[in-house]
Amino acid sequence: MKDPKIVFTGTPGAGKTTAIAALSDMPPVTTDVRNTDPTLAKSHTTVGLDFGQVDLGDGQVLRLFGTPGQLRFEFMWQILAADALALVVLIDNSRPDPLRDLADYLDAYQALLPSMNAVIGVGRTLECPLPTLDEFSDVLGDRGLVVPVLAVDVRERADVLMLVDIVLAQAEARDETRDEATQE
Amino acid sequence: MKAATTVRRRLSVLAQSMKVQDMLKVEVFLRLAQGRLRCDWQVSTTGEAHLLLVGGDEPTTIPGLLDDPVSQLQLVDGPGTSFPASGADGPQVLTRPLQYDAFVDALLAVEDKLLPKLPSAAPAPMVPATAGGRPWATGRFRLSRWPSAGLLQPHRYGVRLATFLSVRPVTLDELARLCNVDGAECARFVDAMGHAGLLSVAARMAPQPRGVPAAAAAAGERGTAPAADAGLVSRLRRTLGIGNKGPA
Repeated sequence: MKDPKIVFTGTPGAGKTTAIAALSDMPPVTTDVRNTDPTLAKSHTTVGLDFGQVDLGDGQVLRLFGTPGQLRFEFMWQILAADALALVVLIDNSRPDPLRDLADYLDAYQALLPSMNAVIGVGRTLECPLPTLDEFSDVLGDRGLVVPVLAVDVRERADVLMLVDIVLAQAEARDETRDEATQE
Repeated sequence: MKAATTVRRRLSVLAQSMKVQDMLKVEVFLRLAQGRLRCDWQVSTTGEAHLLLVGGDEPTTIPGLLDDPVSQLQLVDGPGTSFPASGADGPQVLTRPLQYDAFVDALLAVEDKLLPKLPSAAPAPMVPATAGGRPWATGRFRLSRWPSAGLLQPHRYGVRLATFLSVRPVTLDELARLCNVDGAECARFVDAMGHAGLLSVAARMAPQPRGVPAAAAAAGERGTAPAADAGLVSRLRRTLGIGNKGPA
């Protein structure tokens, strides 16, 4: 059986590596390099991908992938998301235009999102309350998407688990449909 | 046919012991929220009030003559947002930093108390005007938009119910069974979403050709999602230490 995977994507500095570290059984394998982008307030940034895993027993593992945040790596976003059980999009609300950031990810995953288990986690909402979660929902609604949008602090494992919990509930809802179709 | 015109009522927030930065936020939030609110809200420091907003811990004193303020809202220091924190009759509590959604939800609650019979300024729900105004009580429905945090918070299993409703159209009974949540609780949640204009009700399902199950037809509108058998989801929940009941 193929190992399931969950992909964490989102803006640079939104906490994808941190989120994977919160779940992974092992220290995440990262491809961070020294940051040379002056617009990012951090010393290192991911240029390839992050990888972590959770042992499910019986030789099966949940694979956790983090995409590189920069738009120039867009080609990798879809490669990593192919066949994923779920997509977690992390947005940093302290960036100059978080709604535009979300739109970029919605564009990139346009073909997958309508049928994909997905959730949007918005970080740093306490320091930067605007745009509001409602405005993120509006951006999704304009595209006909109903995707959960929640404020999160990915440094808190409970918040990361909440995001995973939601995409698993979506997977259950879709799976129930299949079960019913099979039984009828 | 003439379009109905609605005169927006003016309501006042009486601010007391508020920090300057909180006052600025309130004013910005009120401007931003005009489209979501049914009334025109203004901030005042004296006179009649429909909502008393208190920024400090000291006992409230209400300057000027006024009718009983319908609601009191207290702004306190602390993490997160706790609206509605107290009972229906006591002051509601919001925590700093003041959050837009929670503040607007508090105003909407006041409007609901004051103007229960006025139509909402929110976009009309995509439901047929039949079945006594609660078409979701008998049909299949799903969310047309993800609800605000303030709408979800009063419901214990709000996130779980909303998550199911964001994926597929279901009946009330199906929702209760799939989410393993009490039917009455589901009904309360669905009513709240319906009244907020967030439900779209599927047209009555056409008879299916023989051999095409209704559930399969419902699934068809979403395309093919990545497969995850129930055993795998349970194992993931168990391994990660997530409750089997799903998101609360």
